[in-house]
Amino acid sequence: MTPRRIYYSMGRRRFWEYMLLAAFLLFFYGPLLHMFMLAFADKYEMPAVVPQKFGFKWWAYVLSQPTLVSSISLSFLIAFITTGLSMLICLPAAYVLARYDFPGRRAVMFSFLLGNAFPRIGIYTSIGIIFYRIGLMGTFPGVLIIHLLGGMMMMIWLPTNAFRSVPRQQEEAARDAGAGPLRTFFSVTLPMAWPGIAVAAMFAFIGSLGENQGTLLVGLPKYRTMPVEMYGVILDYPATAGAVFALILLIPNVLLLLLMRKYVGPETLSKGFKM
Amino acid sequence: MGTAKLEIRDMTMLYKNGDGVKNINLTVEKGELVTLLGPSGCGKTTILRTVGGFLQNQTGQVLIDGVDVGGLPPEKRPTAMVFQSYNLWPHMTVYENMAFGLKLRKVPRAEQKRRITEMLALVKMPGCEKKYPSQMSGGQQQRIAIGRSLLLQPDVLLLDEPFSALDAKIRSQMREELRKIQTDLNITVVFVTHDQEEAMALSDRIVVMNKGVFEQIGSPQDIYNHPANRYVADFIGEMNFIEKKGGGALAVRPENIAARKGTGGDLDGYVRNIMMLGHYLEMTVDTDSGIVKLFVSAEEAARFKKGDEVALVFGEKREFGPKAEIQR
Repeated sequence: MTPRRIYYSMGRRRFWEYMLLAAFLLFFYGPLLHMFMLAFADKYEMPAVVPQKFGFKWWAYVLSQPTLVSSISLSFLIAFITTGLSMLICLPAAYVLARYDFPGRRAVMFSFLLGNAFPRIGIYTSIGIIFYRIGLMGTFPGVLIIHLLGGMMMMIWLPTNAFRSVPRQQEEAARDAGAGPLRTFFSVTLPMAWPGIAVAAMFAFIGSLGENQGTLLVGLPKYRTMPVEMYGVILDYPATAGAVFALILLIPNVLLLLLMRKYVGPETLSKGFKM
Repeated sequence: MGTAKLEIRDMTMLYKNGDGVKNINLTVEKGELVTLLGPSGCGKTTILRTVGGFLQNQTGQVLIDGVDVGGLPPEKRPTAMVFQSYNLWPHMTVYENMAFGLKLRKVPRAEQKRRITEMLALVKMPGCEKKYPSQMSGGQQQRIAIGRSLLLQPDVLLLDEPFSALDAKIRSQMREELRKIQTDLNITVVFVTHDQEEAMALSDRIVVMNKGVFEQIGSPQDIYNHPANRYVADFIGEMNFIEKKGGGALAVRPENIAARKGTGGDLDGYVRNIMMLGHYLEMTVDTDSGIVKLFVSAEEAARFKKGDEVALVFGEKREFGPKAEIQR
């Protein structure tokens, strides 16, 4: 099958469509595949395309570097704390925003979009100045605040609409049966709003893992999360070690995305952003 | 004279935009089924929700067994409500749905199970304990909802158009079953609906409402045979209104009109149409005062055909004043 034969069997239009698709896929996935390959290369010398030898040498290397390993555990620790804390803060607020139509409600909801409307580094710089004044620079709470801020938008919008989608009669039926407001919230509202909240929690977790600019500014030199370390790794370590590190960063994201696809449909996500 | 089971005294409940009900007075005796009947927006659901505790009345009192429940939140009132839909919690099984209230009242486990099994048999849904609401039809869900409310042993059972979302055949079946359960257990019920047929079939007494006001309170027979005003006459059953020159109207029900050939009746006209409705036929007649509807038997209908002259003779009839009186 020469390209000529393929061309004539498909027809001109489809042939070029497939060519375009192939070019795009190569452009998009090429670097990723290359990186994947490098991570499992024992020996790789440019300008070869494929590594000379495959193995887990660099995995052993990376996992033996104490600074790198501690950054991995710090990233995950912060991600868990951030998710838990933002749920604690944002869920009650989301419930109020969902159920009570107070004056200024829309303004409050919009304000949470503002944080994501401006270039992050500008926001972080101004935060940095404030942190210096109140002594939060280079502290763990300081880093946590940065991570919390990143997830606010998702943690307010998605749960608010998730709570809104719980029919009022369901809550009223619980009150009618004898449950007080708090018990109604935990027995009826929360379980029914759970898909939307789970999506928001996943976003908060993934977002926290990927948070780099703000953490770089506030966390150095003491608190180095994985993305922060990554800056250094690219400069100081060979490409293969960098590839391993990048894969370690990538894996949780991929897992969570797969979980999301399986348990939460696109509707929950789109419903989450209604005004 | 004992106290009524439910008494609403001079109650006013207004929403922020001014809609609502004012100066409502109503008593419901123990074991009575009273229906609030009216079109959408007439205030019937407002009254029901105020009794249930989901709305707070501005003035007046809501008394159950003589005790003012006005300040109490829904969970502390001796009422139970069945909504039109979204009654059952979808993330819980039927058993968990029904046990929810019992658990809150600290009923022992074995007793819970006994009561639930009994109630499921009563609402004709035995063996459904492990099912989820999404696995059941609308009618089945409403049965469970009613069962759940009955388990709470409320002093007053409140039903907010519970059968409106079901199809016609199931509706009449549910009506019968509800009535049977209600009379067997002697439960006091306040029922809200916009369906006058439903109200007539179920109720001990009907309260016909219009725009926040009670137009008439009475038994179904009273309301049907002696409507107090034009609005009630028009709302309940079928009614012919023959407008008079002075502005008033003569009101006759289709079953109270007889048809004779020729002229010389109370009103004469020409046969417009004859429609087959099962065991009787509906004849529409063109007259000078508009279209008149009447019911005839098959033999009578055989004597007429379209375009024939027909003399209408009125049996029981009522006179009403000018139309303005129903424009509130």
